[in-house]
Amino acid sequence: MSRVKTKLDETALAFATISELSAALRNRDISAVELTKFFGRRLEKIGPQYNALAYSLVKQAHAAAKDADFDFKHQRFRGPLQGIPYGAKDLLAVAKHPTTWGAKPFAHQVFDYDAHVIERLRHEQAILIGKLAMIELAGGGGYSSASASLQGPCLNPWNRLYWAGGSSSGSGAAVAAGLVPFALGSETSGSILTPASYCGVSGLRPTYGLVSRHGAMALSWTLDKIGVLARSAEDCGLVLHAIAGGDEDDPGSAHKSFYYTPQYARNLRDLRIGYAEIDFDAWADEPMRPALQNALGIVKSMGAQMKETKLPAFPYGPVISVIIDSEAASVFEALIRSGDIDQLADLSQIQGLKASLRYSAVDYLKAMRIRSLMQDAFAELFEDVDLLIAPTRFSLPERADIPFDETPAKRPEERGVGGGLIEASNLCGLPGLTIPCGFVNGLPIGLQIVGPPFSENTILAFGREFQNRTDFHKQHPPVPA
Amino acid sequence: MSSPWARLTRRKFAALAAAVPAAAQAGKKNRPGGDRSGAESTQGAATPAASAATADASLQKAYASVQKHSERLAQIDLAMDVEPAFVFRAAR
Repeated sequence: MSRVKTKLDETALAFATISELSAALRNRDISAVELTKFFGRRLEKIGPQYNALAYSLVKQAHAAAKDADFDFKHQRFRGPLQGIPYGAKDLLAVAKHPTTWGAKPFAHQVFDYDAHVIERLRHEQAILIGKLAMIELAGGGGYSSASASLQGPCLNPWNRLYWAGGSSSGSGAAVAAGLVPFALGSETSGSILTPASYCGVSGLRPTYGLVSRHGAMALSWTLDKIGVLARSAEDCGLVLHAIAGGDEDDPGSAHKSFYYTPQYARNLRDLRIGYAEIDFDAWADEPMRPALQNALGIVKSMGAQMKETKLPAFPYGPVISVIIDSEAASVFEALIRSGDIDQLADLSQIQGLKASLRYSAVDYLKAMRIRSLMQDAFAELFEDVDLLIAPTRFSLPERADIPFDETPAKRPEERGVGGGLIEASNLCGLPGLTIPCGFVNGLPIGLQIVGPPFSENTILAFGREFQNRTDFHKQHPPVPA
Repeated sequence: MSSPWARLTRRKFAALAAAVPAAAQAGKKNRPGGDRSGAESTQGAATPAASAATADASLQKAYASVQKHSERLAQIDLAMDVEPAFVFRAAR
């Protein structure tokens, strides 16, 4: 580590972006082996303090790091992820190592193949150093506390009294705490955007079908997406470039590629941004409003055309509940009927999955038909605006040590864009990005940007510009070395 | 086709859906993760060691949630040509 200490400050290294680390690797300021040891040590030492680490792969990573160094030495450059350590949510299969889906009934599950995204990142010579904690079964059935995980409640690096969010909990906490430069997560309805927002990192949920889910646990076939949590919108774009693309092994694949092209981003002045003032005021919990209004002010200063708008009115909550619960009940039918479901940590989740067997085919088809109308409505909305923005969450993170407060939050009857946007954008398969946009009581808050299908480059350009004007994404919690 | 919903257009549907109280659409306080999750589900002890009574109460609450969602969707009638948001392919 002598070269690391002389060339790069260790804290700066822990919280460096992919571009910065890639430059250091290419310049031979640091080797991939050194970088892997550095992050591996942090992940193994600090990760358990947040219940963020599911399984360390640091030992196995050494050989891959050596291979990357060999290629660097011979000037065989594969791309910006070459030699960069990362973590993966424990719902992604990694051959010959445990893949627990965060759940006790699967604590000893081992696959003999890698998930497609793991293969893709290996091709780029990114270095997988650990599997990261998650809410059991990605939250299927509905859970009532942060303890719904094989590793226990994942703690927020900004304040350990609070939850890191879910279900990609460990991915959010590990990136926030500087334990990995980026992590893979998955989202069915909020599982990337929520932990990214709560932990103060950038999180990208790609368009449905853009990233293969082969080798990932299924919760809801028509809603599951694999995405990225990282330090910046730029980093999210670099990782998406590597993992996106068609895959015959994923029936939901859109068979489309993604090329991260910041150089061809649309001029912000040409963009029409749909938003609602009420989202940044009365819809948010009171303590969040000043920070959210400040963030909105920054957006307005960026020069885009701001258009007040509203989300199309649909019962997003009931529709997405019926779809997820019905599909999850089918996915986990054997687990439920065998009684092994009772091994889960969260009683609400156990009973929720059992009860989901009662949904009828008519219920499911009704929900899927309403979903068609939602897609039409959003297609129409995106004729008027290019992007939608709203607070990612209207509340601060829940406490990690007590059951969630089930009291309905008091929100205005009038709706803007943000209320239901996570459910709506997932139902319509739309890409979404969350970026840190402020702090409240020492906890980060996020701004979400949603666009039409396959508009990732536009979304990322917006996020990049916001981050060019702010430093929220550069701040990090006081994590012990 | 005698139902008043039978000739429902998207715009009419949107107008009707707008009549649903905001709180009902958003569910309860949003629960992240498989996101809607706890919002419409049950709240109980966090361990499977909870008493049988607690477990039964939790299950009954979960059944009630399923019933509530089912009834909510049943209020919505759709035109015959509104097909589900997935496509069957003859050739795979």
